Amino acid sequence: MGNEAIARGALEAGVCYFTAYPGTPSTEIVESIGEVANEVGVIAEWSVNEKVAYESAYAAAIAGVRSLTAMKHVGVNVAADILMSSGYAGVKAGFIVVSADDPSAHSSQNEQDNRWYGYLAHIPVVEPSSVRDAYRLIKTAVEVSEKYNQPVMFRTTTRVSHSRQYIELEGDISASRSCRGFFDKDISRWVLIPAHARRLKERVVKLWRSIEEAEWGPPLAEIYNPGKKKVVIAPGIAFAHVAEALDRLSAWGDVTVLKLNLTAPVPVKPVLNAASEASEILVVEELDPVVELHVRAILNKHGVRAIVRGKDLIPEEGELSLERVLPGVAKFLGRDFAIPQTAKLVEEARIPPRPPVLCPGCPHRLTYYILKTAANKLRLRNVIYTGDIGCYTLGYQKPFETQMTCFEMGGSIGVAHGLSKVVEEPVIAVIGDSTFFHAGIPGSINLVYNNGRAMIVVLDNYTTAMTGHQPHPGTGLTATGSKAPVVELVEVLKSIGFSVYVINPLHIRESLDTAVKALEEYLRGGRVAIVSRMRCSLEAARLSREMKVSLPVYAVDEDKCTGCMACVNLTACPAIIVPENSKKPVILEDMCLGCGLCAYVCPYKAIYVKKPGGEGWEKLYTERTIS
Amino acid sequence: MPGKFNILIAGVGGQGVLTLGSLIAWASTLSGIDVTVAETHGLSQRGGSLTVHVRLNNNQTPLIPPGEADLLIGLEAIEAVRYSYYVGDRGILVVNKLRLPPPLTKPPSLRELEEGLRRAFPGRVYFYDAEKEAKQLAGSALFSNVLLLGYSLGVDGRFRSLLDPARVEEAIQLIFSRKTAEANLRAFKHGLSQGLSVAAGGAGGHPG
Repeated sequence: MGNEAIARGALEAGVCYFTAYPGTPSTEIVESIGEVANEVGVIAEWSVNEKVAYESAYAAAIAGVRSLTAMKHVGVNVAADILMSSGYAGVKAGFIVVSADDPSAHSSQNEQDNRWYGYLAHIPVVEPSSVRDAYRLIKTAVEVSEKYNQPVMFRTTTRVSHSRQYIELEGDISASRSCRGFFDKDISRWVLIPAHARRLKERVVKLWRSIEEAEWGPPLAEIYNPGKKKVVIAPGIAFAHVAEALDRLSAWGDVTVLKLNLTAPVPVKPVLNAASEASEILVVEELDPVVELHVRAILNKHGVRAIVRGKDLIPEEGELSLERVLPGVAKFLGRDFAIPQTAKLVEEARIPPRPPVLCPGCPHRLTYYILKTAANKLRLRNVIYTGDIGCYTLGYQKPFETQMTCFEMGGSIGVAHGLSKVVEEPVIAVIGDSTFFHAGIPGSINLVYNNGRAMIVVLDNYTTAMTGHQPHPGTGLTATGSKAPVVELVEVLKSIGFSVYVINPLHIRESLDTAVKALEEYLRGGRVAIVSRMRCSLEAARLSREMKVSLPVYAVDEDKCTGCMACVNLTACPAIIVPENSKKPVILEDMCLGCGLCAYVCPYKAIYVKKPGGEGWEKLYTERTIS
Repeated sequence: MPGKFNILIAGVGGQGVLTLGSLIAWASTLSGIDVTVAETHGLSQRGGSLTVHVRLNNNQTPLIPPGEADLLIGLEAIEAVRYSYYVGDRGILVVNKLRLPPPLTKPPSLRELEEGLRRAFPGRVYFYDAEKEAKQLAGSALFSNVLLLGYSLGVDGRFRSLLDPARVEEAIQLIFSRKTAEANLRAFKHGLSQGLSVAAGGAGGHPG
């Protein structure tokens, strides 16, 4: 996988210290380092958020220890403050920030193009075109960082990070790496007071010019078939699509191609060399016209007259693919192209979309049901639920609709506070455990300090679920699987000033009573937080297999079932389906993970435990540590 | 490049779509095939519609262009129909006889889905009840995916000529733990032999 290739290449390059907060599509970089860290003698950490991840790895690099921090594109926003400063102060050993961008926003709130950050912070951006490129170029990126004493952004996109290829290893993991650093107390460099910052700015402007003007060749800038009138410039993953498009058009002989893997700054000489005979240039790049604009500027500055095309022929939004690149390349070359006819089925029209949903047994389903039912009992009809980033965002869907906003990590609490100042309705912020540690704590403090009128619900499922179950400060485990102190989020909330109610949503009736009490206190003007504690059902299912303790399985008693569909409509559980030609639902035994919500909501007591759970099964869901 | 072959795996997040892609990738690598696999992770894995693109000896863009899949392995019938536009002129579809309606929706019946595919791809659609076979064989639907892979290699001579089933068996031993590897191997061989017998005109249903 691309992310594993980055991890392996970085180890070969002598990187000692790896940090990250998990985020698709970046997660597997530090996850795979965590698996081997002790063995190869490097440090791997899940940081509490991207800002701290960046700070920690950057600190190593200013003390002369090679380091890498990895984050998804929007994670860089969280780290942007230190990112900007690091561009001024530079580094004393290779330092890489991997920005894994997500064109088409497969698993993100936007598809921002982080190459701009390179320009904003004066940090070079290296962008691989394939998994194999990622493996080789991460090593080049470390070299570039050390040559210029500057952080380097290694920017991937989903189709590099999450593709797999066979790689022939070209190097060993050095056994003799030095992971001890020395902090040089160079106060004029590390303390960015205005006077120091102004001088460092001079350094960085000079540095940027020298990188732009340097003699760049392969592997970061490679010209194929020089001297043609038509030139295609293809940075990053776009090169893969261009290569296949030219294969299909049998057009490699007609164009000069510049494969560009350094996209900030766009190096001047390779562009001028590729354009030496050019009358027309096409820049094919994913997302924003970053390279296109800089190519225009370079040609303009050097008096080269060539028509530059780019986003007029290649889509600017969404991920690129062959079928989205081929028409533009063909038009640029004046060629006809054939895109295969695709079969259209009548049935396709009736195929419903299948957005992601809460899994069977998911604790969030139970908590959402409990929250909504408690509010109903108190006749609260207009509750506003602000939301956050995690699996629980899926609560935006019917029948829950307990996520009414979702902007960024930790945003539920700040947004709830602000709304509570300007609207009359009750406001409840719903946030996950890992997200609470990441960016929820400052918002919680602000809420108390500024006397906000919102309630907080923390969904504690003992893991960072959506990115594939990474531990966090509340779990008692580290990135390498060793034990860590538990930061108890209930105590955090209490110390901020909240009256905290803890519920175990597996016990629905009891939790409902507690939630009603919490809401009553909230309505009386109290500062209230509910912590809902139950392990992610995917993790409970894994433990159940490993420990051979089965979870209960429920079934519908056909004689008692009236087909009222309460279980279907109130839970939206994917394990409950209505078979064709039937008016009564059934529970898919292989999928049921025994949460029991369907049995609770059935008005006719028609849902029963068909296979009881093994002894102590409930602990799989409720105990924080299972040994 | 010789022996180009595109496989699209379509299913529902949580069905083991990624694992099946990984298995084919390992088996291909063991066969000396240059393979590229494109996956989707994160939110999409939570019960959403999910595809994995596997390209053998097509070492450029990691995504299969629509209309160019040589084989579509549908782990679920609705998803097989949803992504059927990827299937090429000669492409074959191997579809699990399993219909998982998204919650609160009323999609076409399994029969309608099957008939639609057979009309659009006459003679190239194989419906296979992998779940039933898996339960009979190993007591769990978990083994459906290797059954479908075995079955696909059985019915698709072109796929089989590229990827030796023996390499898949090696890959199963490589990526699964010892205990599940045994059951997976049995399931794979069973699917393969059923696929082979269907291809040879034996019982089990000709493609429509």
